[in-house]
Amino acid sequence: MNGLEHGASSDLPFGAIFEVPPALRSMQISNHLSDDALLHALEPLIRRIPAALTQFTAPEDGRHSSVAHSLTRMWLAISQSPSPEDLVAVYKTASEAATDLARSKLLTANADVTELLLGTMRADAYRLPAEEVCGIIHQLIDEAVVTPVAAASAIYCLATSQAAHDGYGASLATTLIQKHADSIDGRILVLALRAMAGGDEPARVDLAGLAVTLIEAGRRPELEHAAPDLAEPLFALSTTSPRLRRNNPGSS
Amino acid sequence: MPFIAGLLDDPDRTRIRSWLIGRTAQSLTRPQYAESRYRPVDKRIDHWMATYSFNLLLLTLACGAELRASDLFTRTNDPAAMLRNSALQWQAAVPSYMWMDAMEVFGSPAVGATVAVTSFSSTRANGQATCRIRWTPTG
Repeated sequence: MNGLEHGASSDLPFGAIFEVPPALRSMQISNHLSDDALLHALEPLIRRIPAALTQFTAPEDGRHSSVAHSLTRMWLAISQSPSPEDLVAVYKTASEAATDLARSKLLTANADVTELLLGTMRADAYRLPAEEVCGIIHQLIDEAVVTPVAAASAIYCLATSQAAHDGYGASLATTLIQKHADSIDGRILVLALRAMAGGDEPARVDLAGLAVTLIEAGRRPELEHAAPDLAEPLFALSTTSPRLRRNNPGSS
Repeated sequence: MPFIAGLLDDPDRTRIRSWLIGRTAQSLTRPQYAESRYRPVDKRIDHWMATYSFNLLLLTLACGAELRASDLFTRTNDPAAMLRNSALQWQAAVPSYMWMDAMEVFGSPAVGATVAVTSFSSTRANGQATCRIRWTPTG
């Protein structure tokens, strides 16, 4: 299963030593009704992220867990009104699964799992501790593939968990907005910018730099239309940014 | 498989195939154990018989045309179930890496045979299994 010698053990993540396409073919010709039903239940996940079936994350409580298992647990956990600690635990496990995939160079699967994790976390962000949301998102920014869709979810989580109110969360949101300034949904941008501008430490956030990035990405008219009260002071800041002065020497 | 398929690429292929289907069907439905001196590994008698029918199946598939469960199991109402049972016996009889290698080969267009199963939802009605398994040539 994991390529280890008999009796050997490891705390490392591993990939199961079988290929999914021939394994599925084997199941298709030998399955009976109950096996078929099980395969049918998992088919959408296997089709989308085959590596979820074969990649196992480092042990939690002494047991390795496949990525598919971690994802399923996460999806099921959120509907049972678990405590914030339990919720954080399932999201952290899924986050470990995502980063383990990245370490194994399974980047497509990693991007998919990161998207699914952050997309799912949007529903719970309002009741998660801000520092835990930051921790998970920070780890994913550093170690995983964060697609534009995942980035939008991450920014939404930072805003609704109130994480973007303080310096740490706001700096993560700034990083994500700067990287995906052209694609982030306008409504999410407004939510995040409001949280950052109204936060405890607005001075620590480079709002001026962010304003310049958004202008350069062509987002100014949209934001001015959607939230004039927010956009006016924000874009006024852009004239104070050293970046803008550097790019347009004559404008000041 | 490509090597065998090349050998079978002969004007007589249709005749050879029909003979192979008959032998494969016989080895699955009325198997007889023939003592052989060639026994490179230890195996149970039933596993030798399953290995034999599996080899005949591979030879039949190497002829290139579609093979349906109903071609092999002509006297049953549910050929798919019979094929599934046989597949479990083949799986038990050969080392797992060989079985998985065979599964790779079946999917490879180079060999001209792939396994197709009709979709789940449309094939289970009133709890009755009507799913038919086909070996479908792609080449």
